[in-house]
Amino acid sequence: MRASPLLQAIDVTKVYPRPGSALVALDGVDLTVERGSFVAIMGPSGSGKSTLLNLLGCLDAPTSGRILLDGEDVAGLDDVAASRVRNRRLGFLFQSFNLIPQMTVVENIETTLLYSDRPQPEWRKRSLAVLERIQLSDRAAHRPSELSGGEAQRVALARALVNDPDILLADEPTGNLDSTTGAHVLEILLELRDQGRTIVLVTHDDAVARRAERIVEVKDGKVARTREPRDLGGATP
Amino acid sequence: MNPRPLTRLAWQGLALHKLRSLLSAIGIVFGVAAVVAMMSVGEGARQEILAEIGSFGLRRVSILAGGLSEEGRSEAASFQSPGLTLRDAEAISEVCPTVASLAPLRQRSVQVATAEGREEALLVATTPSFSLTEEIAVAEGRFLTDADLADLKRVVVLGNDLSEGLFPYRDAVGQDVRIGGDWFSVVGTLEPRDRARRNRRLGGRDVNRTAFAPLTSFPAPHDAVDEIAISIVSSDEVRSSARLIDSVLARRHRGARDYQLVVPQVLLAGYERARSQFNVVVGSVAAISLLVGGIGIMNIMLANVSERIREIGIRRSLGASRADIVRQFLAEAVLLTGAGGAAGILLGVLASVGVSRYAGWATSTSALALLTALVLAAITGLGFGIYPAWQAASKNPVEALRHE
Repeated sequence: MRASPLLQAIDVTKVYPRPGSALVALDGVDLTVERGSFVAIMGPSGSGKSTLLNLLGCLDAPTSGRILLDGEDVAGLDDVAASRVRNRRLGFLFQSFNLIPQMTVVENIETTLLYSDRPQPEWRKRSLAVLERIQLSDRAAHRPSELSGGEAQRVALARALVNDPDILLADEPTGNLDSTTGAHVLEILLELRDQGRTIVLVTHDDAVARRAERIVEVKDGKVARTREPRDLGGATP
Repeated sequence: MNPRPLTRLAWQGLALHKLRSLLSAIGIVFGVAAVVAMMSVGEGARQEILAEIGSFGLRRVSILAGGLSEEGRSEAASFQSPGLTLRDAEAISEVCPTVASLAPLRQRSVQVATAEGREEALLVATTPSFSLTEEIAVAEGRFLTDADLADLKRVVVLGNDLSEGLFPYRDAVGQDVRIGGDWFSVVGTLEPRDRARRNRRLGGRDVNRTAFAPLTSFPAPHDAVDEIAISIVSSDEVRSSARLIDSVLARRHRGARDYQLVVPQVLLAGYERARSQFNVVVGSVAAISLLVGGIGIMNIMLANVSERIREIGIRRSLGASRADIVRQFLAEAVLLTGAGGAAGILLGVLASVGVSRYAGWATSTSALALLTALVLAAITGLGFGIYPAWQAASKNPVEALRHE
C-alpha cells in the first residue's frame, strides 16, 4: 500500500448565506488523509466537523478551495459525477443509522447497488455476502424497526461497503449506541482499516478517537491542531 | 435504473400509505371509468345509427305523406293541397332525370289469414319498381308485375316471417290468403332480411312481416299515397336531386308542407355533426376528470415527498443523482395513475356491459379506446408527478439527511 494522500482538502471554505450575516462554517481548512489510514475529526458542536465530512463526501460543494480524491478535484463535479463518486468510492455511516424504514435489511443494502453499474442479478448475491460478513444473515428479511441499534448500524455499514468503496465516512457512528455495542462497531471499522480501507470518522468520544492514527481537531471552522492518539492521555491499546 | 427495480421501488413507496394511495387513485379510476363507459355507449349508438341509416341506402330519398305538425295540416287545407298523390310521383319521374327507380305506395296494418291461422302484418300496396328501390330479394315465385297492376289482380307477395308463419309445412306460392275481406293468391315469397335493417327510427318497415300487393288493388280517393320511395342513380346526386324533388313538390302542393322529405344521406351528415359535438363533450369530461384526478395525485405526491425527505437524503448519500430521485417519484405517480387507469377501464367496461344489459343500449368498446384511456392516465401521472418529483430531487442532500 503506497502512502500517497487518498483524500485531500486544500484551503476549503464553506459559507452558508443567511439574511443579515453569512455563517462561515469552514474557513480555510487543510486536511490530508493517507490511503489506508484512520483519521478522527473531533471538535465541539457547531465547530464545522460535520460540514467538513459532508464536503469530503461530495454531499455538498465548498464555497472555495479544492477537495482532491486520488489527485482529482471532486469539489466542482456536477450532480451526476458527484453521485457516481459517492456511489463507487465512498461509503457513509450516520449516527442515526439512516436505514430506509419501508425496506427490508437486504433491500436497504441493495439500494447502494441500485445506483451502481453492477448488473441486477449480482445485487442480491453481493448484499447477502456482505450481510454474512457482519453476521446478520438471519436478519435479511427483517425491517429496520425490528433491529437493535447495533444491528442497525452494522446493516448501515454493510450498505456502505456493498459497492466496495475506498473510503468510509462516518459521522458519530457510535453516538447512538451503548458502549459495548459501540465498541463492537468500532472493532469492525478497525478490522476494515486493517484490510486496507480508509476511514474518516467524526466523533466527540475520546475512546473512539483514541483508536485512530491521527486526530484532527476542528474549532470555529478551522483546524485547531492535529494530534496523535497518545496526546489524549489515558490508556492506548 | 432498470424498470423492474424502479417499479418495485415505486410500489414500496406507495405501500407506505396504502389507504392514502388508494384514495388518491380513485379520482383517476372514476374519471377513466366514466370516459370508457361514455365512449362505449357513444360508439354503440353510432354503430347502431350508422347501420340503420346505411340499411336505408345512401341513394335513397323517401317522401312521406302528412305534415310534421298540426300547423302543416291546417296549412294544407287552406292551400287546398290534395296531399301526396300518384300525380306527384309522375311529376317527379318526369322532371327529375337522376331518379333510378320510384315506387309510390300505400300501407296499413292488416291481418293476413289462412284457414289454419293468422298473422299480424303490414300491407304495402305498391308497384313493381319497389323491389328495386328497396332491394327486395325474392325467394320463391316472383314479385309484383306491371300486369298485376294493370289487371287489378288480387295477388300478394309475402315476407319471410309471414310465409313461414302461415305456411309452415308447405309451399306458400299458389296458396290463398285472406286480407281484410278479400282473398289474395300468393305469387311470391321473400328472402329473410336481417332484423337490424329495420330502419325503425326512419319510419322503416320490417320487410319480413310485410305483405306486398298491387297498388291498384287498394285504391284511395284522389289517388293519394302514403309514401313515394325513390332511388337515385348515384349517391353523389342525392342532395341535388332531393332539392329538385322538394321544389317540384312545393310547387305542386302550392307551398303546403303536407309531405316530409327523408334523405338518409342528409340525416347521416347531421348525425355525424352531432357525433362530433358529443365527442367534444366526452373529451371535455375526460379532460376535466383527469385534471381533477391529476391534482389529487399531485397533492398526495407532494405529501409523500415531504414525508420522505430523509429517505431522499439517504439515497443521495448512497449515490442517487437528482435524475434518479426524479425517476423514483415519477414512477410512483405513474404507477398510481396507471393502476387507477387500469381499474377505471375495468369499471368502465363493466359499466358499459351493465348499460347494454339492463338499459338495452348498444355499446361498443374498442381496444383503441381502452389503450387511449390507459395512456392518458399514465400521462396524467407524468404531468402531475413531475413537480413533486422535481421538488424531491432539488433537496440539498445534507439538509435532507438532517431532516427529522
